[in-house]
Amino acid sequence: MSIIFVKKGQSILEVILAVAIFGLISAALMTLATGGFTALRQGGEQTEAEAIAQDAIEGVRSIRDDAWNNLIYTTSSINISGNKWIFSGENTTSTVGKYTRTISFENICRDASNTIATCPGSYTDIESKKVIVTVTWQTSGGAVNQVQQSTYLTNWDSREWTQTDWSGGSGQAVWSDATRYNTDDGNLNFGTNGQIGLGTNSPTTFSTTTWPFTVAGDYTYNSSKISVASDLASLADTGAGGSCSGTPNACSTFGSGGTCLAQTGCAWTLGGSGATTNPSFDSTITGWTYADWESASRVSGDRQTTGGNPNGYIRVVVAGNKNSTISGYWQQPFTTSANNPAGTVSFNWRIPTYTAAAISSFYLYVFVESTSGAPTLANYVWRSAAISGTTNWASVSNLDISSKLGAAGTYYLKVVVRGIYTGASGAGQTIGAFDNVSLNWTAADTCTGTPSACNTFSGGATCAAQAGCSWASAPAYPTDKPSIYNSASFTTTTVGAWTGFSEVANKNGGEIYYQLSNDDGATWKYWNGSIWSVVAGATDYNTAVTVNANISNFSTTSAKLMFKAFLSSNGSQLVELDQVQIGYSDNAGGGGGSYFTSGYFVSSAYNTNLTSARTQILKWDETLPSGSDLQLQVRTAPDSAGSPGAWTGWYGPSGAGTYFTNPLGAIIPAALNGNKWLQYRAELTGDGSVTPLLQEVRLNYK
Amino acid sequence: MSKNGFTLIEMLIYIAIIGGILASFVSFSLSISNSRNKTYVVQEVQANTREALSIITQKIRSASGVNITNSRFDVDPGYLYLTNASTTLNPTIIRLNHDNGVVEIKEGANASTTIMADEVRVINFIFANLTGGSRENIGINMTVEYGNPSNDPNFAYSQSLQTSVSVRY
Repeated sequence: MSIIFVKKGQSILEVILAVAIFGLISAALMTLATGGFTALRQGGEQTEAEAIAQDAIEGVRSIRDDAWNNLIYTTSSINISGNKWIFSGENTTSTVGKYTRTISFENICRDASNTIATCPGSYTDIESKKVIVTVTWQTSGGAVNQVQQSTYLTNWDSREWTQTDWSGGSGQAVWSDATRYNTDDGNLNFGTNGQIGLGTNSPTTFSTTTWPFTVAGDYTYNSSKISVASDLASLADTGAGGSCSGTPNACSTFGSGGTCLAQTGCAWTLGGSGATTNPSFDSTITGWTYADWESASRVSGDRQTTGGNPNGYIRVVVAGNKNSTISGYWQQPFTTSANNPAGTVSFNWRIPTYTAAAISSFYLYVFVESTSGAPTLANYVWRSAAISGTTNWASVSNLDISSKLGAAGTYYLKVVVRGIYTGASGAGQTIGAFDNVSLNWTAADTCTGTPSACNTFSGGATCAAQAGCSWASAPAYPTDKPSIYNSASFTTTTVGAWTGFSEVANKNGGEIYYQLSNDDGATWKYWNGSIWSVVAGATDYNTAVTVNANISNFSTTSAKLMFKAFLSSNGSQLVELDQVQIGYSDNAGGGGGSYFTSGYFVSSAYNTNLTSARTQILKWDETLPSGSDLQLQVRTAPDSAGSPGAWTGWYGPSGAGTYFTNPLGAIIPAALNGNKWLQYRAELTGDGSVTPLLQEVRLNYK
Repeated sequence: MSKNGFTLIEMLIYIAIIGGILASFVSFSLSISNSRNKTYVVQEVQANTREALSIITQKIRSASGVNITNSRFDVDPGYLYLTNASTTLNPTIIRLNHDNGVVEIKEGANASTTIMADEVRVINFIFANLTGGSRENIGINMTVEYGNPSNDPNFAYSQSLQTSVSVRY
């Protein structure tokens, strides 16, 4: 047994060896298992670090979306302020937990074909940036791990305000015409399309040219309205002048039909004459009729064949009666053929029988009335004295009854016997008799009406025909502003600038207006208050004073000038143009040594139509000869009721008061962000022999 | 006998050695098993977190905008309402299926889809509106842990992520 135990049993040594081997194996296995943990933990850290790196990339992208001109750092952390991402500032990093994050930016350079190239390349693209985010952390094992992400960002979603032409000149405060700007200092030459340069400050010579209106053939005009003679261009008399004045004679002053009818407004009326018939009653009572008037039963009328004056007569027999008024009458109608004739009545009368008893009053009457029948007592033309006894024939001749005859028509001659009786007894017969009763009327020819006023006559002959009117002749001139222009343009080799425009004229209260042409009259232009504009309306012209003040802005490109003068008169004003003179400077020297050494201009204010515009980048195109320079500034303003409010200062890339000098572009400070209106300003400098040229300005915003 | 038999002391020693060996063997086996569980948990949490973040990022980037009014920012659980030009995708809603649940996405009229395994849960899910310019920028803060009802330390693992995404349109 002991042998067995000794030889085949395991010794303690063997057991210890087995345990040691197992220990080694398990230790290796445990290391494997825990090594797996390390890998997993690092994987988790990697995930977190990548999320933090993505956080930075996206945060920078958000800042880019806000405004490109925020991207001005080479290294800057980002943080959240006011619920949005902002940069913390140059040379800042941030720590998130155990992770340290560094965001750096690199400029992008491009080659001639605009492909990204190793810097410096052809140019640095101010509108692209490379963002590199590095996240580092220390692992539990002590090693430092790092995650890096990078991306390119571009300013792709922005707009540009581009101006390439300033030839329209200054005076436009708010941008609407793309060829104009706001103000300059007068030292700039903007006459060439598409560029601005320094102007010339010392024209070599000044010259003038004059149009004296001596040779009519040198000018183009309508000869019926303008005459060129005696060194004058004058308005021509149309012969339509003159006036009719005076007080016309009254129509009634004209005695003959011919002169009456010659007066406008007067009419000639023919007269006439007539008489009643059968005055003597010698054989009949033809033409006469008898009628009772009052108390018809006690009155009667008849004709007696004898006892007249002589022979027959008519009578009215009144059979008296107490307390009665008894009357009867004879009448004859007659007709007048003219208005207001003169008339007379002649007759004989007699009281052959008279009974005095009970008579209160007894009269004979004569009437001339326009109505037939019983007369109106008050209207008698003749009444006898109160009858108090018999009488022999008495005569009344040529009694004037003209007042009773008015308008032409039928009238009645009436002879009346009328007695009024009292209540006394014994009333008896009384008779009134008439003979040789006649009425004659006669009317002269007349001129009537209201003559027309003298000033209604416009012709000399018709005026003179009116008695009392007189014609005063006067010259008359065209009132439609006839024009005259020089048939051939003034032309010379080179014109630096038009320097003056003057006229010598006798205007006599009228005026002379002008238009100018630089293309031989194909188009005419006038100064509309800000530019020389093509004529559109009838009154698009200027006085010589206005032309003189603004002719320096008139195009000199063609070196030609044609003027057109409009002679304006109210009809009585004789407008005469004696002389027109223009002045110009000649730059025959070729420009050497003649540029201004500095000049500036300010653009019109541009409305971005954004309440809060980001003013991001300024670029421009320039030509800079040696010895010249060009620099720009930008400013912005908030909106103030549709126009720019308070402007910021003038900014360059490094803040207010600095200048942009790199035409390839520079970031505009973010301090100008948040406004609606943009404006730029350019300063040009040179040594006098050269000029910088500004050809295009691009202001990037969003 | 005295030379060839086992003494009591020898027996005791022997048993002690055997016991020690057995104990270390069992503990090693348990440790390996726990390692396997822990590895599974960590891997599951990380995979779900990465996947969820990747999908959320892709959805935000491809959206045409964020409806700020309809979204819930700065509170847990957050809720993101994305607008899309495509009618089948509009609106795209990113949310938890319930508080401390998993992330689900609902696109247009479609039924919502969870984008995480049921074993994990999102205990912190906050969106932030960090928009500065014209395009929305959304901050995401998310903590994912393994569902561990028995509070076994071997199954306890969580991962937090913080990032942001800008809309691209």
